[in-house]
Amino acid sequence: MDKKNYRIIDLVWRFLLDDLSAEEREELRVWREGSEEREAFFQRVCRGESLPDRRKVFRELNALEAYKKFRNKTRGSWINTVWRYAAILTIPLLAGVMWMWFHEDKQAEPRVVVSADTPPRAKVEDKVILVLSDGKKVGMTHIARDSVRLGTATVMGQEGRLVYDSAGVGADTAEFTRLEMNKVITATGGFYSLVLSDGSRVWLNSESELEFPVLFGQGERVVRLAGEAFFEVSKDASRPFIVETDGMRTRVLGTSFNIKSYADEPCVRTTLFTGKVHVVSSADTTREVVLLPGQQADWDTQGRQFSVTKANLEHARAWKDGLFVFHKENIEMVMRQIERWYGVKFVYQLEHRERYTLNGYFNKDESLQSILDIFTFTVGLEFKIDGNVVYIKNKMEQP
Amino acid sequence: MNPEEERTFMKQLHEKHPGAFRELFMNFYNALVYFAMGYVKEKEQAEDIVQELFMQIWESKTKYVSYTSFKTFLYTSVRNACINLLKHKEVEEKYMQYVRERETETGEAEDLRVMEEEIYRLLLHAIGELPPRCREVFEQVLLGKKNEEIAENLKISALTVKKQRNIGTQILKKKLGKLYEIAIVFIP
Repeated sequence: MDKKNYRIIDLVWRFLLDDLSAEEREELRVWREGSEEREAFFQRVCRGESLPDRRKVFRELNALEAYKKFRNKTRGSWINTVWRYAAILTIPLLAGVMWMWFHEDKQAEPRVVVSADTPPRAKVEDKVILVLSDGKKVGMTHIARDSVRLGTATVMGQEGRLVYDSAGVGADTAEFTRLEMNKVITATGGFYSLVLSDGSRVWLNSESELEFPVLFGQGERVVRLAGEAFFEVSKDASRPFIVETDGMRTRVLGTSFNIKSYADEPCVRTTLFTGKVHVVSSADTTREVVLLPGQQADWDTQGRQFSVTKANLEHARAWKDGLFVFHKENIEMVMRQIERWYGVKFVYQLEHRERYTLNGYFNKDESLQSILDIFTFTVGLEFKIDGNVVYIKNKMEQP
Repeated sequence: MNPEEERTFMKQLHEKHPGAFRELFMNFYNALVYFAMGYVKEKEQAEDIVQELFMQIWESKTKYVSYTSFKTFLYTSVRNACINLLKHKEVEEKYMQYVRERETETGEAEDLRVMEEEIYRLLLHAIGELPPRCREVFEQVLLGKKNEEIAENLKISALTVKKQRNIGTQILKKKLGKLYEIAIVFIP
């Protein structure tokens, strides 16, 4: 294919995103007028004509399975080669060769993109830190460019996420005597997403910690969470996925759900988006609730009981899309979220703060000041920022 | 992939690094199977053709000049394999007719098919990376739906649709930035 066609691909793509300058629009127009086939192509793509069909076909395809099949075949040819050489050698040597072969393969396999850079060490200002099984800490926010390999994980520097790859390492099905655990910690204002070795995706909100095995074993897939995370769990009926939080276990087979379990919140909240989850108290396993999509379970950490209510799904996952969404939310709950993102502390100089409820819809990249301005405007609160402390009072209340 | 990643990928592919082949499957398998299905219709045959091609790449010593020429090679090989398969099959006359038509497509018509495939491949890949709500909105955008229609279909407010569209566009633009750099390089 002619290389200048890549320019056309780029123009068409950006046309779809409505991101062309006047000159580029003209450039595309001239190209389109070059032939009827070009125009037909352009119209086809803009209408997304083949998209539904493509989706349907793609759903039936499994590239990872195809790759495994490919690996089995190519691995087979390696084994044959090894045997051919080994046959000439004596038995002890053969054992040695096999041992080396397995070891070498395990080491070398999952490398996807190798960077010459060594990962930077954790710094205080890092908003996301990865703790390896040996306790070594790696700061993630400074891996700006390229992908970096850390054990079996690839840090996708540019996309700001971490991918654990298991397909090469004999997959998750291998039995391990001890699971190698990693931990991702997000600080105030941090946000991170990762793909676990079973393909499950996790988005981690600010001031949160997720501990997980680098490779899952044959049994249950267990991770530990403190703080808030959104999960999209890959289906695997034989290996339930379990999220352990303070006082609670959430058990699923393959679904998407959000868990909010901050130490400074009065309850642990599990919100279900799709599929089915079981939520169990860790202390008393007879206390269990089963959630349906659109429901949320609150585990009252003090009163030690569950309450199930209807959830507002859009609000529950807004954080993940970089938004703050509050709807008739108590002021303290709102301010706790703001504290976690902007790294400030609120000091209340208010009477009856339980009476204040706030509404709002903000982008997380807005400044703290502009969000507070809106609260001042809508509910008459006055904020005074003093370093990391924000004082709240009501204009109307006399000091 | 940015130019640096492309070079690394090609280097590892030449060195027969399993990781590079995994990338190859994850990035191209679906798109190539779909492309093949435009010729051979049956999914199983299309899958065999792509699997066979990747095996050939694994076994061959060919070094590809660049990532783009490698991509072109992939599509051309799949097309040729499909046409060969159709030729060798005991086929009905109308099928032969179809094959002949495909064979005599002008160079550009074939390019356009490849370009279409590439656009969808990149687009679906990028969209797959979006947050779920954003992804839902964007899939509808690509079907040419208006904001109001999307709001109704997804049972969300028009404002939310707008917001999600903006977020998605920002993310996709960032990805596009990379593609754009590559495109610039090739302009003679």
